[in-house]
Amino acid sequence: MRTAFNQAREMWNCRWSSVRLQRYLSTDVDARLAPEDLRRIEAHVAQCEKCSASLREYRGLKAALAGWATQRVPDAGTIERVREVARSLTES
Amino acid sequence: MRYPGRKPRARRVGADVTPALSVDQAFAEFVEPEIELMLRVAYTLTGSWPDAEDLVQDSLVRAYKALDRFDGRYPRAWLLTILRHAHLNSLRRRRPETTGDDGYLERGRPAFGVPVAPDPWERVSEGVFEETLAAAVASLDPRFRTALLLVDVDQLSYAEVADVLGVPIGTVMSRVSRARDRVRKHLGSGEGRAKR
Repeated sequence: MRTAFNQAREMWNCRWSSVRLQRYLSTDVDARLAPEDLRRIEAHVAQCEKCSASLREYRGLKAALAGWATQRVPDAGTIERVREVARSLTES
Repeated sequence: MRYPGRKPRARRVGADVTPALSVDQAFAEFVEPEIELMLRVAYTLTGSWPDAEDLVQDSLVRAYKALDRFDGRYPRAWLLTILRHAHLNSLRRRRPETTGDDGYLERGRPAFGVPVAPDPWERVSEGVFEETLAAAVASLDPRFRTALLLVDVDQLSYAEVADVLGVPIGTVMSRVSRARDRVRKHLGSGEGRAKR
């Protein structure tokens, strides 16, 4: 049977991990976590369904939004007109 | 659109970069490769391709005039900063009052009346999920939404988004984090359903 201390520690660990899940998934240099923090989060997620579900949702959200990029590509005409402006600046 | 004018006299760019380039060489090397990125970012800022095109063209003119003061380092950050200034200028021309009040974000703006899909995370159908996701993102405060789109759609780094928005990197990270949490909440996070 878990003691009250262990339960409090697990709750603290869960809270600590949950607020870092987005940084855990990020490859941005400014969001980088220390190796020991990464290991701590991985160990916690392996045994916490709530954080595991949150991680899946963050991953799904990032993947879905990354897919929007294919719908937000400037058309060739727009790109060419802007390149023409760039060329005219250097040729004038 | 053409910008007639006399060719600048022997301006050199990148005093700290060896070898120093002519303005035209620097423009070709540093600016032109970033045009597509600038268009995508401008679209995120303006919401319209015609406005994005105007914004980038305006930014290119500004960049050309400022090239001789550019040290050759971090061209993308430099261009994104120029884009931000050009965008702010265009906003001020349309709406003289601008706000830098970040407390507005802290007070929040709940998305009343926006329906929550029964269980979108189960992806019952891709179309339903995408539609709900689009509604969730559209319901965000504009500053949260812009930061989220720049990072997760346009794939800019936090530092680059900080240059675009003119805010600290920490503010960008906070806005993106809160945006994702609000979208998850809108979609119906599974946190409350996970068994302990």
